[in-house]
Formats: sequence, structure tokens, C-alpha cells
Amino acid sequence: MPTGSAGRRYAQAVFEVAKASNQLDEWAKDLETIQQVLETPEISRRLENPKLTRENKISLLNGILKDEVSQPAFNLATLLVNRSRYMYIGAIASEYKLLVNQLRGIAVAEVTTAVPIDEAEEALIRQKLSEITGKQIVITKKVDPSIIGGLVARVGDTLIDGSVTSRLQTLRKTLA
Amino acid sequence: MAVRADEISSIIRKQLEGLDSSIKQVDVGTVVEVGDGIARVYGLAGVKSSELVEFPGKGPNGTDVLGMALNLEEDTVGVIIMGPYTHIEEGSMVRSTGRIISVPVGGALVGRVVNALGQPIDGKGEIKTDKTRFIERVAPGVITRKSVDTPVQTGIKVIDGTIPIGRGQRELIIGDRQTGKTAIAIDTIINQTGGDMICIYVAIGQKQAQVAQVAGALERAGALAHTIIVSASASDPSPLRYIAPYAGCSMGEEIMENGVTLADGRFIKDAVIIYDDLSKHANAYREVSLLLRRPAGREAYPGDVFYLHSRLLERAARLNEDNGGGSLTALPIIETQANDVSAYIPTNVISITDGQIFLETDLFNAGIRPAVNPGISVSRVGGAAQTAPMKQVAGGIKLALAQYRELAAFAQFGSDLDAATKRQLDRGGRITESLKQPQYSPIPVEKQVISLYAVNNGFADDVPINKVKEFENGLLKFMEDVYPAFLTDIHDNPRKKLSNEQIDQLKKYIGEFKQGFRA
Repeated sequence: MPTGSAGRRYAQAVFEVAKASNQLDEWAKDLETIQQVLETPEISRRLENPKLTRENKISLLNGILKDEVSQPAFNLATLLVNRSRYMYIGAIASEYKLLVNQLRGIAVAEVTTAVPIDEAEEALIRQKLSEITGKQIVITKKVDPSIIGGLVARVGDTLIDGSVTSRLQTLRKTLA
Repeated sequence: MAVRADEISSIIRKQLEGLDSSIKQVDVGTVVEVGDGIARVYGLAGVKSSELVEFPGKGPNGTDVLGMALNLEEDTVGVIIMGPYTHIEEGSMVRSTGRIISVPVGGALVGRVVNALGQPIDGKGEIKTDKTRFIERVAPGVITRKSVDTPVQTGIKVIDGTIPIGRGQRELIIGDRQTGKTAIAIDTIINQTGGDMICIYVAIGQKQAQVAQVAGALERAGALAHTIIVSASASDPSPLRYIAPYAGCSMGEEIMENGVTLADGRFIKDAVIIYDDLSKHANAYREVSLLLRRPAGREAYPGDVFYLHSRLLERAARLNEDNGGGSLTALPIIETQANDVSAYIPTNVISITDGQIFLETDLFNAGIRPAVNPGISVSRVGGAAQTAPMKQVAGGIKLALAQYRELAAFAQFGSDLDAATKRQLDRGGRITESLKQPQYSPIPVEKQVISLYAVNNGFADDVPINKVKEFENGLLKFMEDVYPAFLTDIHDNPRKKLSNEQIDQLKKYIGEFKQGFRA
């Protein structure tokens, strides 16, 4: 989904900080924690409340987040609250994940099959897909009986459609 | 002959064997937002500008709906949807096709009514052609062109006589609603019957009943056989109305560049295309642009609305012999509001075209039909696009009409006029009368020459004004019946001026007719 440019800018900054201090995974965990906290309904309601002052909101964060995440990550959280950008935390986290994956040469593939696949098949698919894309593949599995057979893999914006349904549709178009 | 089952199955088997079952990688995206014929799509990273995209299974009965990528932005792609969009929803998949938008072209389209994508809508079956063309193309360059030297005969005396249109020219037809703009276009199409031009009528944003009416009128006149009608009616989504003129233009370009062979074996490489009308086209483009959130400019049209029309009209051309010598003539139509030609779109199109035919409500209501105002109508190509005899006889008409109008305005105040003024008024009144012409009755050029000569040289001066039309029709009938060879001679030699002998002959013939007319 589109994350908007604001999310991308913050994520880029976080990514650079994390890369410089070699704490990519720690940051990923911290971002997740911050997202969890900021998106909790009770907290987000308070953050949105115009009657509460900034200091109030920051001290609220102080109480919850301070001990959970590293100091730089906490700074990010206060920065977001100070600038009223806390709603972008989800975008920042997902954009950050993309950047890390890009750095490590990892691509996420969404693989849809008609029946559940076992470990060996998954490994085979992973190997094939990394041959095609030239990247390490992380698979998220999905089962959808409506494709009848075969498999559909989506890596980023690229769709590799080897389903029986799509072949039947091509057949119908050729015969029409 | 009975159909043999094994033949059918062998054909099907062949089709199945030819079926491309290889798995391809395609670019896909997801719909984020959809409405008003526009979809915002996330993904589609590799899509090109004006590339066709597919919404699989989102049309009626599970067919694919096509769209065109128009706005390539940082996060999303703005797609205009060319078809029903009610089944497309947020999260729907979009597939890129790698094809730039194109339409079928060629001889199979002639005589048909198609939509903006070139699909038949006249119920006469499939259009069998394997040729397609991109709808957007760069206009032919200077090197391939040649100056305009052959006329497009509209069959309308006031136009062929005073505002001649040449092949490859762009002549604007402009006027308020109900002034006979479309009628001029239809008469021009009808006049090409049996001639050497294919006509393309692009209806943009019109009522479907109106398009059906035009098709019916052409059919009755036997003119549909050399016409392609491209219709993007008022009920079609704005993207279709936006691309319709370009689609029609591509069909015309094919005729200009490669020619077409008609069913009766004639090879034709000249085409005339009528855009009816470009005001509605600009409105459709404004709609698309605003929905795509492009910044609005004057009259809320986007900044590139000039380019919208200039790149379309620039594709009209006359090619030189090295490039086949074909031509594409454009007759755009613009509807003005209360005769205001200084609105944005009229000024734009006036500046793009090589002249304009002004139609006025006042003239129309005064019974002068076609309601052309010859004073402010011009053709910048001018005499180069007239046959030699026509140029010879029509020379003085524009001047005589201009003087007539000036005097007529003046003469309203006083009754004491000297003989010379009175003569000019009489002459002007008779010319104006003779230039009136009913709809659907174009006149061939040789007859136009005769009647313009007779009126312009005073042979009708002693005929009462209300009898001028009768005189003219009688004269033409007389010439047709008694001296058909004289007419054929003018028709067959468009590059030869009338000789002195011919003129003397013509004077004699007119004299003969007048004796009978008086009696």
C-alpha cells in the first residue's frame, strides 16, 4: 500500500541511523514496539486529544516507552508526537522493513496455491523464485482454492501466474 | 455445404496447439481508490505512460476492463478506465499489458460505426483487420509534406466559392448551437459519394440519437459506404470521449499513408476527418484532468489543453509523392456560447487551424442557410485549393458580398440611392440569394461554376430576388439536359481555365435559357 512521502522520509532517516550504528534488527524491534504502543486505542485517543498539552503527551510516553526501547528510538517517538506525526508510525515501520530487506537482498514473495504446500515444496519454490529474481526469498503462504491448481507468486510488483484458472482464461480468449 | 465435424475439431486442435501456455511475468498493481472513471493504482512500477492496463474479470459477465495509465506518480499511477467501472473495487488487481493504446485500422472499418476503441457498435458483425495503430502519434514532419493544391469539394457553393478547403488543410467550423455546423460536415460527406475520399466522422459527447440520425442520413444518401463513424457519445465515460478523436485520426492516417482498397476495388488515399465537436472533447479532457488532480488553469481547463488540440490537428497533412501523396483533411467543429469566439477553446482552435467558417444565428434566422458569414470566414490556403474554372468565376464574389453588406447597412437609413449603389445592392442581394442551399443537396463543382458565373456577371440582375433560386435551378437543369458536354468538360479539366470561347458559349447558353425562362 502507498505509504506516502512523509513515512518514507522518516524511515530513510531511521534506516541511516540504524545502519551507521549497526543496529538494524534492534531498530526493527523498537519500531514495532513503538507502533504497538502508539496504535493502542487508549493512547492514540489521548494523543489526538487537543486539550492535552504536548508536555502531557510526552510525559505519557515517558511512562510507557522509556524503558522498553533504546534512547534513540524513544527520541523518534517524542519527535513524532511533538510534530503530530505519530499516525505515520505504521508507514515508517513498513517502509523501514522494505529498506532493510533491500539492503540484505531479501524479497518477500506472496505465494498462493490451491492446496497447502509442505516444507520441501516451499523450499523448491523459494529456490526457483530466487533464481528468477536474484534475491533471497521470504515466502508468505496463502491458500486459495479458486485458482484450481498450480501457483501464483507475487514478488513486489511482479506477478508470476501459473494457475490453472489463468490458463483456462487464456484458452477461452483464444477460442472466442 | 454441410459442416464437417472433423474439420471443426481440427481447427480447434490447431488453436489449442498454438495456445501460448508459457508462464509470463507481468507487472501488477492494486487499486487504492476508484471512482468517476479514474482509478489510483499502487504498484505497476514498470508501467509506461499511456500504456494499456487490464482489470481482469471486472467487466460485465467477467470480461476484462481496459484502462490507460496517464499519471505516473511517486506512489501511485492514475489510470483512466475505458469501460464500465462499477465492478472495480479497492484492492482489485491491475495488470499491465505492455501495449501502448492502439486501434484497428484499414479498409474493413469503412462503412462501419465504431466506438473510441475501434470496436463495432453497429451490429454488423466483427471487423476483420489485423492492422492496428497507436492512437497517439507524432505528426508527419516537414520533409514528408507538400503544399495543399487539390480541393476538397464540399458541394456547398458559399464554401467552395469563397472559402475553399484543400486536401490536407485544417478548416474550423465554428458557430453557436443550431446554426448548421454538423449540416455542413454531413453535406461534405455526402458530396464525396462516388468520389475519391474516405470520410471519418468522429462524434464526441453527442446524444446517441443524434449519431444515429447522422448515420441514417448518410445511409439514405448512400454516403455511409465511404464513411467511418467513430462515436464516443455523452453516455460513454470521459476517457473514451477523450481518446475518440485520436482514434479517428489514426484511422485517417492509415488511409493517408498506406491507402485503402474498398470492396469495389477502388484504391483511395485521401481522407477527410470531422471532429464533432472539439468543445466537448476539451470538456472531457478537463473532466479527466481534474479527476486526476492536475492543476486547473483558465476556465478550469488544464495547462496542456492547447497541446491537446494542436497535436491532434497537426496530424492532418498532405504528403508529397515520395511518401505516397495521400492526405488527411481535418474539419474540427467548435460550438461557441452566444457567439463568443474569445473564449479559451475557440481562440485556441482558431489559432491552430488554417482558417475558419463562421456560422451565425442571425443569418440562420434570416433564412440565409448555410448561415456562413463570408466576411469573417477565411481559408488561409485560399485559391490554391480551387479548381481553375472555380477560381476564375468566384474571384469577385467575396468582394461583391463585402461591399453589399456595407452598403446594405448604410442603405437602411436613406431611400435616395444613386444608380451605381442600387446596382451593387441588387447584385449583392442576388448573390446572397444564390448562395442559399438546402441541406443534403450538395452541388457538383461544374454546376457551381455555371451558377456563380451567371449571378456574378449580372445575368440574374433582371430576375426578381425571390425568383433567383428558381432561375438558378432552371439554368442548371437546362444545362444538364441540353448541354451536358459543357459540364463534363469543366468537370474533367479542373486545372484548365475557361477559355474565351467557352465563356462566349456559356453566355450564349444562358441567353438561350433566359428566353425560355421569361416565357
